[in-house]
Amino acid sequence: MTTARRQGDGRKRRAGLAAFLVMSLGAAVMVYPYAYMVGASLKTRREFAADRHSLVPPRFQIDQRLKHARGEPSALDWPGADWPVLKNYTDAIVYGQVDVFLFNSLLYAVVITAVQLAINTLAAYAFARMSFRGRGVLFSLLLATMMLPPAVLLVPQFLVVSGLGLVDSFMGVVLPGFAGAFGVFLLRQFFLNIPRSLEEAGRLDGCSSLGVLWHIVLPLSRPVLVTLGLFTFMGAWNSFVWPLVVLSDQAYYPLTVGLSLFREESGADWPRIFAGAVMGSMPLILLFLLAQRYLVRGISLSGLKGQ
Amino acid sequence: MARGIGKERRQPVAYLYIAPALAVVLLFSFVSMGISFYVSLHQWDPFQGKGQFVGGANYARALTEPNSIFWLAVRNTLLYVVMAIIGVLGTSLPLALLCRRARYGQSLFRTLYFLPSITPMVVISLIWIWLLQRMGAIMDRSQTALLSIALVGIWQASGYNMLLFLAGLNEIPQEYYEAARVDGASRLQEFRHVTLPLLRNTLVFVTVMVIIGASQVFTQAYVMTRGGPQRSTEVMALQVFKNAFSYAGQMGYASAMAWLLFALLFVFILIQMRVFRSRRIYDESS
Amino acid sequence: MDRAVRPSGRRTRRRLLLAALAVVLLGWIGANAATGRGPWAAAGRYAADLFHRAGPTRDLGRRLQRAAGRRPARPIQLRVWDWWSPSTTEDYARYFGEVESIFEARHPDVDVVFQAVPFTNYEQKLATGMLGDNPPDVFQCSVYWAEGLYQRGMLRRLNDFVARTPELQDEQFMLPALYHSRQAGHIFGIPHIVDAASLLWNLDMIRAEPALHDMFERRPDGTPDFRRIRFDAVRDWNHFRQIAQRLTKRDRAEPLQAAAGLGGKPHAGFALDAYGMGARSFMPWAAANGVRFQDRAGRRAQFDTPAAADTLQFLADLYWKHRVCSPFRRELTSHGQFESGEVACAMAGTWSGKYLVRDTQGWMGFGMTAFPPGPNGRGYKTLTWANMMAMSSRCRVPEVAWEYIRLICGLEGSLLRLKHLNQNSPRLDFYEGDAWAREVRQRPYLANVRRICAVGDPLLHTQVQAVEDEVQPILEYVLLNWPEIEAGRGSFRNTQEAIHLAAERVNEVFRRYDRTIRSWDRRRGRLARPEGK
Repeated sequence: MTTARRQGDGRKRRAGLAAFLVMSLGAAVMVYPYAYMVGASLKTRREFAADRHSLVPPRFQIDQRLKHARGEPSALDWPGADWPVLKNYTDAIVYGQVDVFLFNSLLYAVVITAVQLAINTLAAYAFARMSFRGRGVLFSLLLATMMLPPAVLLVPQFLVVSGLGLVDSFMGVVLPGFAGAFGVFLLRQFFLNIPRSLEEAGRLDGCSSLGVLWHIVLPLSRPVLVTLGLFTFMGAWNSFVWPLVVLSDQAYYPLTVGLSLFREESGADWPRIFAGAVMGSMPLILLFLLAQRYLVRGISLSGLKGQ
Repeated sequence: MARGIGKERRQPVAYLYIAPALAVVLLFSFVSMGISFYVSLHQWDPFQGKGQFVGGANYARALTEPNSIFWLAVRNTLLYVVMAIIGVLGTSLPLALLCRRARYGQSLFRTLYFLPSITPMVVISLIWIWLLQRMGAIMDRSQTALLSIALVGIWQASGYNMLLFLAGLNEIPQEYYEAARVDGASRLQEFRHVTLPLLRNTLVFVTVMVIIGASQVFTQAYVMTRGGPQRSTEVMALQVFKNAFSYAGQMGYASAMAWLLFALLFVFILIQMRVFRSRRIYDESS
Repeated sequence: MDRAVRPSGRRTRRRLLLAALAVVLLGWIGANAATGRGPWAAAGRYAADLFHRAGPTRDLGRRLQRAAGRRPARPIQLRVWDWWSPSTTEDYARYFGEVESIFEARHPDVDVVFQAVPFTNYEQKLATGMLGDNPPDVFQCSVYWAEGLYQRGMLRRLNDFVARTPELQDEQFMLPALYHSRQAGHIFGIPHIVDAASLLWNLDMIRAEPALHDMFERRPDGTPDFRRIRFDAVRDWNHFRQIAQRLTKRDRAEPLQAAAGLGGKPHAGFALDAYGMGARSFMPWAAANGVRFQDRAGRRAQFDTPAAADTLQFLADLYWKHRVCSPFRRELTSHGQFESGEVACAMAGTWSGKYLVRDTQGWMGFGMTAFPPGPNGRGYKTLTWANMMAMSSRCRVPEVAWEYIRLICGLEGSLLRLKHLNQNSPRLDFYEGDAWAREVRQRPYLANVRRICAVGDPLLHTQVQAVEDEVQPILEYVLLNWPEIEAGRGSFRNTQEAIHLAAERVNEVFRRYDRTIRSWDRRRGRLARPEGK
């Protein structure tokens, strides 16, 4: 019995190790482009023009350093080799105004996320727990909106926003972002899995439906709220076409649109763009690290919980 | 198991709950959809606004014009969708299974695999142009160019979908596996008879979302290949965008194409739901 | 479930504590900032500055000020759009800074507001801007869109303004610069820069070939000046091929290796952009062989000629038969390959010089020439275009806008662009002063630019995107698959068939465009009678 278990344990351990190795390989594939971006953001323009492939900027490569030490010509003789390591980053802020773009992105993403969470929670709760005429139809209609090709909604949406007089304003950027069928769907799925008995207990204690939602459902729903919050934030942070269309004042641009100003008719200052992109991904990475504890628990699609 | 909805008391207060969300969706999806349909019945220019009323001519042009790019775009888009489904399901589900097995660093893996989905697609596309080029001429042949942009899409989506599958796997009660093991099921049988059926809803969800996302593929084609070489990556969203904003007076035509795409997608998803539904095992929800 | 609820209470307390701490910290920072000392004060000042630069907070502040009864010092706003952005390079920031201060000093009641719009989305943004209520008053307009915008009645007619402004009369400008901003007697733009397609040459590579030293200008003492390439360095297409052959350095045997990045030795004589090879990169060569792309009105393709087919054949042969080109690559344009030192010659606009200097940080010696004549051509040719300043039809302050155009398109503006952007000008008087001569001495690559621009045919200018979308797949196919075509297995039998099909497709685009414009004209004719039409 014990030997059998030990054998089983051994096999399990080996399988775990194999899985670990395969996953590590996959992780390398996932991370490589990101590493490339970080590496490119540290290159001088000269280095990027001459060597676009390496992960490490030539002036930091060991063989170039050795060559330099031996007095041979090397990448350390190129113009710009004495740049501060983070020059592209500081330039992106000083000349490229990346700090303003980041601030705007943050503002838009936070507001969109907060409002979406609030209104989607209400709607999802109604769809999950309340009974009213047209529930099925309304819910299907809501889901159907996910299928619309955004390219064609762009102009009509602009006409709507422009009709409301919101072009080139804060509200113009965030308002369409408040709509989110996906959020309603995800929240509803989660709410369905919360045992009704808990809520009924709350109702017996004299809570209104809003009270039940606030005091009982929401505390239990933290995983899904965090998950949806993260997804919404990501979507708002990375959205490009809408802010581009609705804004013409550079001071309002979020990072995605702001970075496209770095490009010229022909080429672009790639190292500086990559520096901006790295800075732009930092808040998301941070947020993901904070949220990741809840992430898996928050998604409930299999319909198995609470049965 | 499920309590009949009809037996419950109707709660009119629910309308107040759904009002804010519905109002925004109404304004920005349904009103916009209406406008877009109206546009598709006209000759329309982004600068000039409404032109002549042409009825169904824009639709007819898309469907019947000789050497119409519409059908080419439909073909490419459908091919892309199929590649994306196979690719995303084929990577994210095994990855999720592996990730649960991995001895160390599960949460680290989750983070690393998620990295692609938090990087903007524009930046990703730019980087991948370089990487793909080093891997050979995959992007340059008209036979494989579509595959190359699909690879990028799959690469970006697999981590995100792995999380969805992980969530689904976590919800499967451990007892089911123990029962299977008692019955002497092999790993493969376990997967076939326990994991897969119990993941059905997640599978449906992921597939639907992949179809929706993939059918709207735009950024990779726009940034990486611009529809080339020889139109092999000319996808619907790209066609719609070009006609709407780059060609004079073709916004009505673009809207018509988008509506046709919408119809096609709808059919696609309905079929897919049917396929899954016929093998329905568990009820969707309580 | 209980377990899930209870710790959240503890967490709430912890979070309250954290929030309190944050408030205290912020208060402390604020207090420090008020006294104006220490790192916290600097942080506070930075935050204030950031709030002032970011739109949402800045406008909130302004609204508060207005509510408090304060009026803006400059009541008239002039909204200027450009794709040159202060974010792109610090040069643009300096240029716009000086333009703004000069203009505002002369017009104390005007507030110039620059709005930068990315080039690739410019047309789309214009569309939405004109539909909405925030159109620009004045904007830099590319020749790609100018004709289309004019046809839609979006550009204000400038004839009356020009008539009373001596320094912006037509005879002040070089001829090719005026082509794209006029239609049937209507002036809808004033050119302020002029560009042309050109051949870029890596002078260091030519210098390494003594047999090619003829290509350089001579110093007074008769020795070659290695910093300057002669305008007529290449006699004709045959000569070009010979030069490219000589400049092709293979690594081992065939096939040609892409050069290794770091000081890579092997390089190719020439680079062709097969991917995305469209009319814009094909036509400069074709123009040198006597081919025109379209008629003056831009409604008919004129390039369906044997000379055009010969041009395509010449390019295909350079790659496949004579093997003087670097391998076709998608990820790196020929310009990028040139920049990396992988090719000795590539095509690029004359404007690319300043970017080359910047990207290579001055390490590369290069020069520019026009395209040598082909067997059917007469003299050196290229394509020329001049982007312009235009006034939108919804401009709210035409007089102020015209004053702005006068500054930008006059000699003063040209000199500002020379100073900050090293840019040449479409103005003739610009080349007479010594500012230009001084710049050429400092940046020898500029020496031929004026002549290159002057010998150009006009760049294509109607429905450019739609036309390119038709032409590109065909030319791309021919260049990529030439061996197949030659063996009789391709979609075409020869280059003539390909050119013919391309012309047919382009004419289809033009016909559709013509119908569209007619319908606009009819509609406008019904609604309101436009001036002079």
